[in-house]
Amino acid sequence: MEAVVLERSIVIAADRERVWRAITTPEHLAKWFEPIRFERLAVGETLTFGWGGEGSIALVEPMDRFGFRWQIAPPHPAQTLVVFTLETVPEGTRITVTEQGFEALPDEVREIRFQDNTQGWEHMLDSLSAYMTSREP
Amino acid sequence: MIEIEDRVFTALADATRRQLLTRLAQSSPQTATQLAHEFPISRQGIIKHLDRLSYAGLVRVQTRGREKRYVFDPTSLQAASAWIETIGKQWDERLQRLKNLVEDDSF
Repeated sequence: MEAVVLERSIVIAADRERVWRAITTPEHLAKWFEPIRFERLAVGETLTFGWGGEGSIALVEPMDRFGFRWQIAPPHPAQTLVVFTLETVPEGTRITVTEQGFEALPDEVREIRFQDNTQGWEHMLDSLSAYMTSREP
Repeated sequence: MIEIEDRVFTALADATRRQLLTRLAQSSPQTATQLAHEFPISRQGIIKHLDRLSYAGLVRVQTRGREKRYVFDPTSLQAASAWIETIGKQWDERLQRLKNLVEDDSF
């Protein structure tokens, strides 16, 4: 069974150690992401988000990968999996974030109001494909 | 509605189905036989994929005599696409903030 995976990335002019610190330390996470509380950086550790949602750490591979599950639309319990992957590139560090598990969409999502589509369907399919890749989980 | 979006993501998780849908978005209606000429898979394989797309509400089926014709239906795609784009944009913004933070000398 393949999963729909959303993938985005950016290159940062800094070494992996700095980027790793920024994505795994509550103090730094609060500055670029949102307030996230956890006791230890360890798989299975509970995460509490500033907006009240909960999650858990799913993956800790120092300097390489950090992953967690979080509620897709609280208070619904459905969760998606977010994974950050770091790689060294000539300009510094590329960080790639993937999010998957959208197949478990909760009811709340349907309440989101969508903007009118003013672009062609073909373009929409292209951009949708660009956001997603197919892969074995 | 919720079930339909669930099915949309499952249907779009396959590259061949995305290509089939793109083809139908460019030109509809088409029969499975016509599509089989353009894709390196059998007519039976095409029909299986079209069934999944139909189940997700992404294509509608018109029956004319013995022949089934498939038509692209954008309604459910619009909701799923706008939703995933919104989430993608949120990540773009977060990553940009992360970059600004880490590249700052005081970090």
